[in-house]
Amino acid sequence: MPRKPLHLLALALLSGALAACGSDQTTMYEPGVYKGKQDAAASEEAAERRSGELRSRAERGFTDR
Amino acid sequence: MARMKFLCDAERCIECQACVTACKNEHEVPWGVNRRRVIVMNDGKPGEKAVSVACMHCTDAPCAAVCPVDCFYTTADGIVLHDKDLCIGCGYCFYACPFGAPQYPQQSAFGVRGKMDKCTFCAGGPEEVHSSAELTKYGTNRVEEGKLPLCAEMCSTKALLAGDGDIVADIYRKRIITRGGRPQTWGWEAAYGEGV
Amino acid sequence: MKLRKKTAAAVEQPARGLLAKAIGRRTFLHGSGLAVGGLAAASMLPTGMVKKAHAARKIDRDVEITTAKSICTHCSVGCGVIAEVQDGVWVGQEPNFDSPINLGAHCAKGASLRNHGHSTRRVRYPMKLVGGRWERISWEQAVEEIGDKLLQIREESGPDSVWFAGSSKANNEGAYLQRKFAAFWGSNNCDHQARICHSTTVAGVANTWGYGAQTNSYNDINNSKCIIMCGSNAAEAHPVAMQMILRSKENGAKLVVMDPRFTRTAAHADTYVRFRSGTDVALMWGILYHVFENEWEDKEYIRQRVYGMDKIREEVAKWTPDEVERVTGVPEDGIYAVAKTMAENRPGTFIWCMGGTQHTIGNNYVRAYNCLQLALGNIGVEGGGANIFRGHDNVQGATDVGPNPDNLPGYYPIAEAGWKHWCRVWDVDYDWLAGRFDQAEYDDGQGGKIKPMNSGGITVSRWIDGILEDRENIAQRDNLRAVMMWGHAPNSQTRGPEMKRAMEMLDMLVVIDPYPTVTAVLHDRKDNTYLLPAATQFEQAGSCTASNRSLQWREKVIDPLFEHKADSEIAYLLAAKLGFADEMFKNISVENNMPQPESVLREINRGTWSIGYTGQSPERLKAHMRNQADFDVVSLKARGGELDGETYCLPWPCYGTPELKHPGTHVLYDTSKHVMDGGGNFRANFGTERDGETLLAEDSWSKGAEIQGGYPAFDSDILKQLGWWDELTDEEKRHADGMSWTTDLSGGIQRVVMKHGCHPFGNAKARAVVWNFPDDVPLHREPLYTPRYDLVEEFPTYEDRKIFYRLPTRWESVQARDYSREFPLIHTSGRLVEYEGGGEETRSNPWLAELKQDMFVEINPADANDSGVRNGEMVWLEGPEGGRIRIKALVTERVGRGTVFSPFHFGGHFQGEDLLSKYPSESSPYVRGESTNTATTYGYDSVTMMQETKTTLCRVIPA
Repeated sequence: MPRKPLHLLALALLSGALAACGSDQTTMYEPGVYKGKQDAAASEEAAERRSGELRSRAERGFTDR
Repeated sequence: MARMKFLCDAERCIECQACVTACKNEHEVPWGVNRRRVIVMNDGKPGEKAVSVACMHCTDAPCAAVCPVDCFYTTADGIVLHDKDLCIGCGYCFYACPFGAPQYPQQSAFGVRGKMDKCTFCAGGPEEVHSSAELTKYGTNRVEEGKLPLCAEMCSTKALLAGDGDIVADIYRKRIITRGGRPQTWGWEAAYGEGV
Repeated sequence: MKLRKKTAAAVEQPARGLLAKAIGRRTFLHGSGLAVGGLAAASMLPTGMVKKAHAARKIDRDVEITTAKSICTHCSVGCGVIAEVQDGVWVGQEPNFDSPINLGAHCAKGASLRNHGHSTRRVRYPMKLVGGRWERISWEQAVEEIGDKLLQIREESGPDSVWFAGSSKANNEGAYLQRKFAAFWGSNNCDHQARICHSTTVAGVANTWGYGAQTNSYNDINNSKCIIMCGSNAAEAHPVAMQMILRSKENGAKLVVMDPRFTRTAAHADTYVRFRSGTDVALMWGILYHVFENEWEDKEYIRQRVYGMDKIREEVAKWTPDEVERVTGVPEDGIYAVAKTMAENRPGTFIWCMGGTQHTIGNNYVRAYNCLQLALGNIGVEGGGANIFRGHDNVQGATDVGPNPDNLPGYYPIAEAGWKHWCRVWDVDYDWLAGRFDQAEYDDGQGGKIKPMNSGGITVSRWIDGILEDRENIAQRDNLRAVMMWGHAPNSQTRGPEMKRAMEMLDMLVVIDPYPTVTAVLHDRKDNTYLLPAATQFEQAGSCTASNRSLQWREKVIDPLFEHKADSEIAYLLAAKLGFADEMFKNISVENNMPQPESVLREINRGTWSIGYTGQSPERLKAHMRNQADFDVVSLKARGGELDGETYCLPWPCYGTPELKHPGTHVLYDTSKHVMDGGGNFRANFGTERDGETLLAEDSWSKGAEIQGGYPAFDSDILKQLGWWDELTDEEKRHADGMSWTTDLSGGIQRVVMKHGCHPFGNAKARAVVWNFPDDVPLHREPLYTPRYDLVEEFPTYEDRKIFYRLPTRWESVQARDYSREFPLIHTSGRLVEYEGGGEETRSNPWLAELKQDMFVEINPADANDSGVRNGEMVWLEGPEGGRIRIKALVTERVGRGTVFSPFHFGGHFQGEDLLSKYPSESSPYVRGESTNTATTYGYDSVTMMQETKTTLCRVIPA
């Protein structure tokens, strides 16, 4: 086999792969970004909802009555 | 919004281990895994001091920075949690953590063999709130019920404080004013990057 | 592969950062050792633990969760507990922020209570030894066989040949029924943990000023300006009490800790004084020396309220600073600093625990502490007091109304008058009850004869001698032939090897307990040994008396697990089998064999006039538990609400009937308050004068008293003389005529007396000199096993006695030999925070057991080097009576040179052997170890038979 066609094949595969990266089906690896399941209780709304209760719980539990 | 923090008042800690067993009780943490423990300095000598240590839920959590599978996340109220389904038990977070918080059960206890386990600030994990998956993998979710970590709530002398950082710091500052002396807030600065 | 290697490497890495600095007792005693990394921890599990410890509970959010309020069962602080229950399962434990006692707080034990609700390590059903193996039997068979054996022994050897250990962990109702059970069986041979806990305190303080109890409260320490702790390690024994102590310290109180050991409590002190174990009297007189020298005493208080201080002054004058240093080892400046601190910071409170009580002269220690407090005017004031921290959760209550060998509920005497009082309360014929007892007479130890009904029974500390001693030397018909351990750990008593022998000599041995306890395994018995599963206090309702005298009410959290039964039910079943249930439960309502706790408490209310256990009806106590949040943390007084002005859970004395609404007494002997507001004064219990000197108070009376000065205790005659008699109703007069304030069952005398602002028990001086004790003025005497044998001649112990609580008792014949050369180290013992008492229950709780897996001895580096002992290695600790224990050495400066310390909670090993195979299968505790009392020695207090566990000798050699 001549060498040029191999290069061409590699190039074709590479461009195919690179093209795939741009598609919606492919996930880019972003280091340092959470990869796990979402936790509904971790949201801004959830935290806001419970913050008042948690504040008064701290006052009740930790101040010397 | 409230920002959850722990603070252990070393002047009040009497090494009674209530925080340790409260945690065991609440989450049924298996034998050999200690999400919280009491550390004693100068044991048996004048100057003996103790402090209760667990995951401090750092502002800039070093564990998250080194995790090769990115299983850590921080809730909107500042609690650092992780997904045990992703965790590979590599131990990097143990090296990174200034408090030695991460724990690795040897056998199947919380989830699968070798997954890292640590204090959740009694806030469960990335599963449906109060589901049995959350309970068995991470323990109970008190925060969602408006309660704070049981270790602090049951502390014998109210040495261990937990909750919104502003309130915790406020309670502690009042004590310092009453009794005089310098604040000794073990780990606070390392965890939250600021003084009380 | 790569990853596994890396994690494995972590095992070998020391911990980093903050954690790396700390190598303490816990990291040394593996289990919580972060120093070796979390990865390694699991390899330390006892076999099979991994699976068992994490059976995560199910909580169904759709099914209702109910809550029950209870009280922690692990010490006398009385911490409130909130239990969450779903489908009959105890699924959660929440902090009780409303309780004014603990404000939600717990120690390690309290924070792990929920394990009691599902522990599988308990004795699950009745069992008996058959040919040396445990076999399951039914309750019916157990009661039948035990009952038949008891009746046979009674027939052959009389009722006194059976000995019952009741329990300070039973609630008031259970403990009261245990005492009543012994009485109806016909014997005074019953006792409980108070004997070996604070008996010297109870005798010492009651004989000094009135009642045998903590004078103030944990909460009241917030009012103190100076806190002295002597022989108390509250940080481990009463951790939640430290909340109040540290709060008080933060508000400026000076904290002084005096102890041979630098305890975790000492770590928080402003001043720590280390002294030689066994020299407290010399230490107290050393402090008083400076008080008198500098005229720091409260002269007016002493004139008005104290008898005999001059005689104390004479003894104290002998204790010059040099002399004190020679005996205690404490130099003058240390003692002077304490005296000055106490003098300049009043009111000051004095706290003591087992370090001050468990000695051959424990009653002297206690009275020396009392004299110091009286000299400074610190008793009967808020912030002052003798804050005696009791041990078990209901040891105060069991002392007040439970199984004591030398008195009846309410401290009524075992003399005829006391029995007649209770027979009226019980509604039984006195002659019938007297007929249940052995009618012969025996040596009373004072040259006379006495009937067993009127002679103090054999104590917890000495039951083994009731078995081992020659029959002719015992002041009862026969040796003990059967022992029933009804909620009692044997490894908390001294002389382990002899105990083993004693157990093996018994005809029958019965354990009634949630756990097998060391009683199940110490001996090599093959038959006639029973385990009956008793319910925990979370499986029943009832009242329990905290150290501060508050009666808190426990709700039932869950039904008894397995085949467990409550103490009260067991008492009923046994009484029915033995044939006296009808008489014993005549006025008590019983449902399905279970005596109802409310009904039992009402009977207690009807009889205990002497100590004011009469006002605390179940209804009032339950109302207090419902309204916990209304009570002030410092004064324990309700502010507003339906209980406005009442003190939390009506600390006794709460005189009169419940309808009278006495508010309970927060601070005893406090003249600044009206008696109907919890005020009082010292008790007139010892006559009105002695050697021409009045014993009644002078120019001192409680606020509002119409008799302004001292007066004796009240009876119907005095009321008539005062013209107060006609203030009684006709109904009250019928009961009260010819009666005193303690025997008038109507409560009329108390009602009328208090209406006039007077105290029913009179108004007298406290006695610095207790002339009815062996040493009227407390003296220093060297321990029987003393390291300073050179001091024995100057400070000898007592002569031996032929009969003392029915047994020959030795002092000087033991001290006659010098052991200090062969056994050069003082051996002292004490508590750990993780465990309680004999420890079987707590060592069976995995959340606690994990934290302390090894029995150990603390030894000073110098002594360790002298003996060739290395930290963490196994050693033999050998006592002078031959007992030896194989344990780990913990080399630490916590103990001074010449003293070693070991905890007393371990059991399940005996002289190097693990007794695991002797436990019923799956009922063994997770952690076992040598019992320190295998190596402890003979020695008993001269008034109460308290055992000596704090000062003996030993040697430590590498194993």
